[in-house]
Amino acid sequence: MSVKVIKLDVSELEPPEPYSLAINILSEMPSETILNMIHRKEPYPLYQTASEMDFEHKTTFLCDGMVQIQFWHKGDSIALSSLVNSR
Amino acid sequence: MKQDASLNFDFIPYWTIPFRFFLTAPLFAMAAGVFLFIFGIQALGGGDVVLWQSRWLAEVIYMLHLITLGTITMIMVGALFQVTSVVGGRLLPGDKKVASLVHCFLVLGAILYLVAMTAGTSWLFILATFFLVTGLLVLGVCGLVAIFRAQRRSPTLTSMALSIISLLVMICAGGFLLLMHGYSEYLGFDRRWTDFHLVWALAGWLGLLIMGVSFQVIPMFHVTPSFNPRLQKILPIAVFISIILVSLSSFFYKDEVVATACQFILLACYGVYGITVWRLLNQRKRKIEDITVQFWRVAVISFFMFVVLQMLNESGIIDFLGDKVSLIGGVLLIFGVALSIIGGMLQKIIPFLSYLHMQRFCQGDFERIKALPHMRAILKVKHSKAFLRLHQLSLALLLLMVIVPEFTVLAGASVFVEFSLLLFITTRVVTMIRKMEQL
Repeated sequence: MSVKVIKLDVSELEPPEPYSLAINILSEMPSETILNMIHRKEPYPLYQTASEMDFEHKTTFLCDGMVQIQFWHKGDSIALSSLVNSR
Repeated sequence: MKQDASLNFDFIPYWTIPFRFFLTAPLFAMAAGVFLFIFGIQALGGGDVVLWQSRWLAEVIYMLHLITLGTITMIMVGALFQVTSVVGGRLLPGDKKVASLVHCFLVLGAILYLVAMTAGTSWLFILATFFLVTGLLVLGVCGLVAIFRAQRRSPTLTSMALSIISLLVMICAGGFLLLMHGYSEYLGFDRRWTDFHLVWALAGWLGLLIMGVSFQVIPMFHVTPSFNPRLQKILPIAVFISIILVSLSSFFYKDEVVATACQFILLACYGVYGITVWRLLNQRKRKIEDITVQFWRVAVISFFMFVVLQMLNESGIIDFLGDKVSLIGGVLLIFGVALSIIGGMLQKIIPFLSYLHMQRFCQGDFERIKALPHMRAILKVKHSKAFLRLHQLSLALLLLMVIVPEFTVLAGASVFVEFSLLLFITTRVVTMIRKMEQL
């Protein structure tokens, strides 16, 4: 089964816009979906909220100084198995 | 790749800690506006009132301190509680208790300072000195402890530590000056301490704190490239060494070439900082209209106007202005540079902190978080714009007032209206946070 990837580049947005955009997406994100976020910094407050709402995340530091954060529903093995490292 | 760990939001002080300082600060500037207005009316009414002839007149000194102690230091102390914890990952020791004590002592000290200067009662100077020195010493020691215990090292923390050391030097010299004011028959009054106090206050406490905080907030809020890492490391230390040189050379070799040379070294350090800020703001990724950027530009232009003023003064071209040169320089540095940067930063920090705290009240409830007001709804753009225009008007009128004292009434009215608006903006946001907390 294919996993849907939602791309969200917030690298040119000032805080807290990245947080509120990500929350809007996560609140309606179905299972078997990954939110693939590109940011200039690690979004610590978002990690906390996402964790409280049963999301897991993986952070990758990219070569150009950007940070890639991928969110998926906790226990969503299909999403986990197909984590992509794309931008 | 090295992990980004520049900010830590696990440690944020309770929202009332910074906001109590932000709410109190405009009141002192409003009081300064009222005093200016009254002076202006008295001068227009004739009589013996002669305004803005010397920096040594009592009304100049207490007007200056209403702004520097009551408004600027008040806001900076509030910001220090916030930034130390977010950047250092450690709350200031004592947290709420220390914040209450520092706030209370600073308010009492600033009011007593005003009363002591206007009434000239000797024992009031002791009381004002006690509250101001104790409050700021407690803050300084707690701030240094928090930075020393910080989970990581950064140029921001170095700059903040040097700023706090400057605060400690500044407040000791300031306390001594206050006692000399009250008991000049026993202690005498050595004016050299005034310049010593001034340079540690403006270039040290104020300048280094702004510099340290800007290393974080300019790239974060304006989406600019980061400051050059080498510059971040070297500049705060270069400024600090320059301050030591300026204060010592001005004390022991006043009016000699060595003192002037040291002053220009210090100005050069801040010149490099000003040019760097200007360049970074020009490299913003999104060139949208931003009120804070305009505040920064007013500050950088005011700083370079101050540098030109100093050069003209050294060359003797503006000798006809007499001591008014010091007053114009003071307005440029305090109102043009310091209050512009602080006012501009507040336009970002107030809505950001409000959102951060309101989001925490939602405890991970997506629906509540989604219903949170947008940044532009928390602090309306039209309010920020009006604040900027009023600030520019106040700055122009204050400069004009020094040359043409008849403008004092208008300058006072403008300062009063400007800071009434800041009080309204802050009160509106505080009401919003309180409502959200109670839901």
